[in-house]
Amino acid sequence: MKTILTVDDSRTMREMLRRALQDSGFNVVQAEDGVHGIEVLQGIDPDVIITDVNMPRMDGLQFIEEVRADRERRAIPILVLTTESDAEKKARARAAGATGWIVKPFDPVKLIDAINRVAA
Amino acid sequence: MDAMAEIRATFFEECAEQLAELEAGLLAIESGEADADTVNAVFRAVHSIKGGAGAFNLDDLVHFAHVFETTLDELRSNRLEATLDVVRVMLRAADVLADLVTVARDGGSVDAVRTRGLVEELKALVGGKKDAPAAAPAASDDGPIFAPMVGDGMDGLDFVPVSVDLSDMMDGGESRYRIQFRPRAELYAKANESARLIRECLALGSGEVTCDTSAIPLLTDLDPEGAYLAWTIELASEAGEPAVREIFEFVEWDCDLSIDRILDASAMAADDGVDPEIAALLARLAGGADAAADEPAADAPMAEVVELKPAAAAAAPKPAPAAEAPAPRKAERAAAAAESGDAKAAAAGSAPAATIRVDLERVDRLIDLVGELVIHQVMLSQRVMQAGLARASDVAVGLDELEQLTREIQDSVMAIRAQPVKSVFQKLPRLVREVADITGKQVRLITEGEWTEVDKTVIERLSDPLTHMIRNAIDHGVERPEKRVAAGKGEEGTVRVAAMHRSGRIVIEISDDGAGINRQVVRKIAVDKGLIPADASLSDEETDNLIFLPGFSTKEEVSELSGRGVGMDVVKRSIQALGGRVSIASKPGEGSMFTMSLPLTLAVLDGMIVSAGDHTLVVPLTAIIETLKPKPAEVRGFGNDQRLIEVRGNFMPLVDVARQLGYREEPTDALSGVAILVEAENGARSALLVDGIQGQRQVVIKSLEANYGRVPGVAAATILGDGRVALIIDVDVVAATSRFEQNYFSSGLQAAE
Amino acid sequence: MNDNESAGARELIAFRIGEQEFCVDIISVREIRGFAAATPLPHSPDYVRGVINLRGTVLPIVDLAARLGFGATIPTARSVIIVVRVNQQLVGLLVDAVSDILTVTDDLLQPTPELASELARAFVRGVMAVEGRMISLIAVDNVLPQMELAA
Repeated sequence: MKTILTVDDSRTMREMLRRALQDSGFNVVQAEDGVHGIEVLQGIDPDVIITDVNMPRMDGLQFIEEVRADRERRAIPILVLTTESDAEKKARARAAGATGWIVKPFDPVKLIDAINRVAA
Repeated sequence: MDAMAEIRATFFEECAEQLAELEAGLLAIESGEADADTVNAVFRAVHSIKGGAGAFNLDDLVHFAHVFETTLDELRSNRLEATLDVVRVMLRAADVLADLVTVARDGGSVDAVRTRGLVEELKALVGGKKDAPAAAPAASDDGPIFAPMVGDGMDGLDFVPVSVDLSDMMDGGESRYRIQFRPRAELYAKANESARLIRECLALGSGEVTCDTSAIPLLTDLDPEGAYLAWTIELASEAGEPAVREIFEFVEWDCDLSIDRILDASAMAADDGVDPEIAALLARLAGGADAAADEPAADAPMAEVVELKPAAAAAAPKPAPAAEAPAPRKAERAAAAAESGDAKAAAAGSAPAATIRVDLERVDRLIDLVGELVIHQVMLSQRVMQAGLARASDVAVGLDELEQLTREIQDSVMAIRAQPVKSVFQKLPRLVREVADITGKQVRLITEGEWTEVDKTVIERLSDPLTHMIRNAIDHGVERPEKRVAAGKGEEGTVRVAAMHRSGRIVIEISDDGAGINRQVVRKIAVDKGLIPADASLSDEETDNLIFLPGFSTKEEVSELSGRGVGMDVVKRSIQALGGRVSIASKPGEGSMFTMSLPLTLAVLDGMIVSAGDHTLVVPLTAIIETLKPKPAEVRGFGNDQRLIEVRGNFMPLVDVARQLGYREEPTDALSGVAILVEAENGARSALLVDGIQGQRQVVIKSLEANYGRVPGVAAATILGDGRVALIIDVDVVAATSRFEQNYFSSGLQAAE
Repeated sequence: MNDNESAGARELIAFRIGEQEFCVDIISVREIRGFAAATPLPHSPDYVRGVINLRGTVLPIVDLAARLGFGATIPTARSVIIVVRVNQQLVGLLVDAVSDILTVTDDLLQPTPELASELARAFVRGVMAVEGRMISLIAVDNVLPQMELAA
């Protein structure tokens, strides 16, 4: 079973992701922000990471940079959640090393498609 | 509750938290205490609400949040200065946002004019800046979720993921595409893989893949993280070009990509210069090769590629046969369904949690059980004493330790329910804004001690009296700006709300720097309404406290607020119902301060255990002023069946508790009993005559209403050390029934529910 | 739990008040406990015996004999309290003694005879003949005073 790490400060969004992902047979691990995400990554090796951008303590962009700088974790595909198809935000996410993105509110089918597109 | 409803509930819970954060942040900005984090947090709050609202199709909320967010973004990026005017617009926008959330949750409608007005105001704040992307709010009208930002020069490149009906794009037939794809190192650095992309392409139809290895340098020159391969995919597919392009959605900036539709089938030809063996290998990708495809071929050209393996992503794709890909996925899903319980456990287990959310019922059950434990421990101790065991015996010592532990457990359990008063204080800024608006006054709110903790039941019931007192402070305390200026004060009045712990109780002070109580007016009203005799001699303090008398109301001017019919007597009553007290201190011209003190919990109560007519009763300690032994000269008959007692020159009713509660027909002998001097809710004093006093004790409050109902004169019940139920006297009712305020029924204490 | 349940059968707890037998549906019964002295409640009807401590819960005790108009029960060693759930509340019914547990079918239940007192009929859902005895089925819903009046 593939494990997905979701990093989002919104409980609502975490729950929606969890539901959609578990319904599609993924194992879901949740983190509340970038700092928490980094902590969680010490203990698991997810197949894909889905992260929000705007978060307290450590935002999604910095989180991605930290993951990409980690030799052990750098190859994990990371999908960014964006609220709109904001080109600037996507560009910044790409620059930080995001593999792809998911537009909120997400269509569960597209979510799974996006994951399958990046998951090894 | 189904899953979606649960998430919806979570969303609204979270909204409440974010609205609180939003307001707190804006207030911090207003008072100049904000830093960049504050602005970010404020932005994030609105952003999160918008995100969740979108998921539930709450369009009004999404739309407003979007406009709000756009303006906040200006603030965040320093394109808009946080002047007082700007922050005040945002505070009002926060109020509207809160209303929209409420309506989204509970139904109903919002003030559309107000909402529209604020949308305009918010837009105006952005519109005022010419260099800002002024079109953003406008774009939101078209569709807030997918609105592309205008003017960032990337429109041509940006792929807007809208669902496309492919049938419109095609003529029903198969199209041929030539996809030329040369990844750059960045593509791999972002954990994308060319093999996966190629596989996805081939999944759309059928085709051939050729690889250009000409750029692979000598091993010594090879950057393990470089990208040296280029691919050409000749694809025949029924899918439209957008579907093909979507595959490369994430990578188009990190590769050279061209997707051309080929009309002439003869154009399907392999590029020159491709190593035939690699071409053959890659061709197997399309041809449904088996697992052998995972094994790199041992041939020379591939060997170079294989050596790249540590930087695997760069050049050694591990493609799975496209045709088989969906099958294992399905199998995984089936397996996952069976293990979904484990998945949840794993998800929960791996997230380190500093806090847990517990159903309140469980905590209450625990509190009940600990209450039981305390009772049984006391019973056990009493039995041991009765059995004549020495205090120094092992059993007695062990029991002492048990008692210690039991108390500690009780304290710890009570602490679980303790919450900071912040949740109540959070609602005050909005209240102050609104009341100030209505009354035409300028008021600044200062809150202190918002982290002071108190039991949840107290928190829940703190809000109403606090609201009334703040309303009162603004309505009657703080003067209008012109009056203030005339009095040599600043135009803006201050209302300060402070919470603190003091001798085992929580004390909340509500003070204003207004005009203070006009004692002449208060006295005159009290006399006019017959609340006090015209010649009553009252201290300043006593005069001030007249405002708490039932029937007193200083409605000199009928404002929108005082029309609500809430007098300070009701406030005092509700505070006393919580086992609390309230008082006022005022200085003419300088302001007033209300002080209310409440028990930290409604689950236990300090009581005096008394006997009356063979029964044991509990009198709440908060109501008791003193106890005394009546002397013959002090007790007088009054009317046909009443008695009065004289205490230091004042006569007050002597209430025969046993008779009042129907325990006894004949009057209790006043001289052999004890008089407990109590103060009722209206400040009136009386003396409760009981047979004797057994002691003082903290008792666990038990609801009578849960299984029975309200009993006049009884506030609640408790369980004593002998396991029997004892009733807690509702002092207000018991005292009042022998007075003229017969219609005065107390709401009584309630056990923690 | 019970094979007969589907056949319209129900289990009843039968008890005595004086010389008469009554019963309540076992589904509403939480427990049966020995009688303990209750703390009287002021201003309550005479059939409300008071309240007792049921493991931390304050439980009102209704003297069922008094409630049915037979006069107050004088508790004996055999007196028991049948704790029943009525809506969301728990109530203890003081009765002289538990006599039996019966399994009966609904068709055994007959309407309460006209000759029963008005008061008794308010609390008796119907009567049934079991092994030559007449047993009245108590409707527990109305045994507590209507508390709205207290407000």
